[in-house]
Amino acid sequence: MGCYTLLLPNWAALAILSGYMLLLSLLVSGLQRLGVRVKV
Amino acid sequence: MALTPAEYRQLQLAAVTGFTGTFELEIVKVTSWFLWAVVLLSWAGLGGGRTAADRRPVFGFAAEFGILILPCIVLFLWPEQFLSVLGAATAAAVLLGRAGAVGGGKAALPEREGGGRVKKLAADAEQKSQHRGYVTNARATIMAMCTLGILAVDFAAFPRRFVKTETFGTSLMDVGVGTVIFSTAMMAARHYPGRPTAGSVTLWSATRSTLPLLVLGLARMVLVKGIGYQEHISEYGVHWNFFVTLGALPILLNLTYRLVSARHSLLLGLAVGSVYQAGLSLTGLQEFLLSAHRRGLLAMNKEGIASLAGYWSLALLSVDAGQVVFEVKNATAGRKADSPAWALGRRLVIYAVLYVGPKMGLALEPSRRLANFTFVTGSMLFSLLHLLGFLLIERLLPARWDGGSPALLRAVSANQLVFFLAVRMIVLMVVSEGSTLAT
Repeated sequence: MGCYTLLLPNWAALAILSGYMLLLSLLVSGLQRLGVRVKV
Repeated sequence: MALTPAEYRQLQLAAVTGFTGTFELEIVKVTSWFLWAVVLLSWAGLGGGRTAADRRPVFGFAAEFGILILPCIVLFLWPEQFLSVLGAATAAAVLLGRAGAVGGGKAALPEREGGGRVKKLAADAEQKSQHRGYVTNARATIMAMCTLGILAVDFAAFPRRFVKTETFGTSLMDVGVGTVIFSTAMMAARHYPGRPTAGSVTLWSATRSTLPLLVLGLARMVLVKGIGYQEHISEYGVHWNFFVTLGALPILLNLTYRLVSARHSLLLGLAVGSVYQAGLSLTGLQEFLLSAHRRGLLAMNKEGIASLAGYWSLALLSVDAGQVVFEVKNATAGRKADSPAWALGRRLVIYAVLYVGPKMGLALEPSRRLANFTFVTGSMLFSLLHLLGFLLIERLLPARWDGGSPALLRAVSANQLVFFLAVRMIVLMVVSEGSTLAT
């Protein structure tokens, strides 16, 4: 599933990091939109 | 080039070992991005979240992500491009601002109004409990930077001077560790009034609230060993990790405030930090911690156990800052509220003196591994600089957003645990071994 990230070119780093942050942002924005808050 | 898993593991370890950090000003430059971004969003009329006016949530979300997050990713990889990124982001903000005005939407992803009365009440309560937009902005951006750094470090494009330092020095990731403690402990100030008491938190509830972190710490240890991810044992030790430190601090704070008034957090924090530093410098503790000796369970985890004293000091100082932010001190002393900007500004000067003085005068280089005195004061300096930056923006620019924050930052701040759990899962999936992508 994973990959040897240290060997990837710069453009791939930028693309993966952008996708990763986009995914996280969509997740929390979606939860916020639904009024869901997970708290411990 | 084909690497065996064992060879790649060595490469991973070499990519995080032996670094000495960078200049403080470079870290301030990179971390200041979010301050610039919030100014740009406000100036261009983007990042709304005013629920009645939100007609194009996707546009608003894209605008916020494009101005806040994307440039930050570029700066993490190529920090020398700061001015180019600022120029590009300004141009993008102008264009998006015009597009938003033409389309009649100035909104980011809004909270749904039809979510029912209970949800609305919960949202209102959340907003009232935070009720300071600059705090939300500071905490959310600290979390965003840390999550970005956690994955970015596994790419060669990430500058090695930003990687956690081996023993002494300051790096972007070192500052991230300190600011996460600050961000968490600052919020604890709301639970501890000015008398020696457990406040609104019992020891059991403090312990219970840390259980997820301790479980995460255990899970991380098992997973790291299971997937063959690099183990940098000189960071915290063989079994100890950051989650254990993060989980232990609320319990330590709870025990502390049973004995001492939380109003004395500033002096207490400085005293704990000073005594620990004296122990490091005068008793040979530092030599022991930096030695290769690892016989027995305590010695195996010596960095994690000893640095807890430094993180305890940092947490106490963060509670002091939180008392200023949430005006706990004034409320319990029955005084007229002092301006948080002035009170935090005074502390900023104190920490600047206590960082620069020992560093220049006593050659006391900051060390995250030891969590020594200059690491603690340096962490407070960076954290307060970040917090004060957002406070000044809030004071100088007219309030544009619900709750004083762009919707994306509110969302990150409201669900930090989900955010962090998702980060851990994604990072493990991306960096785990077994792929042949790069062979």
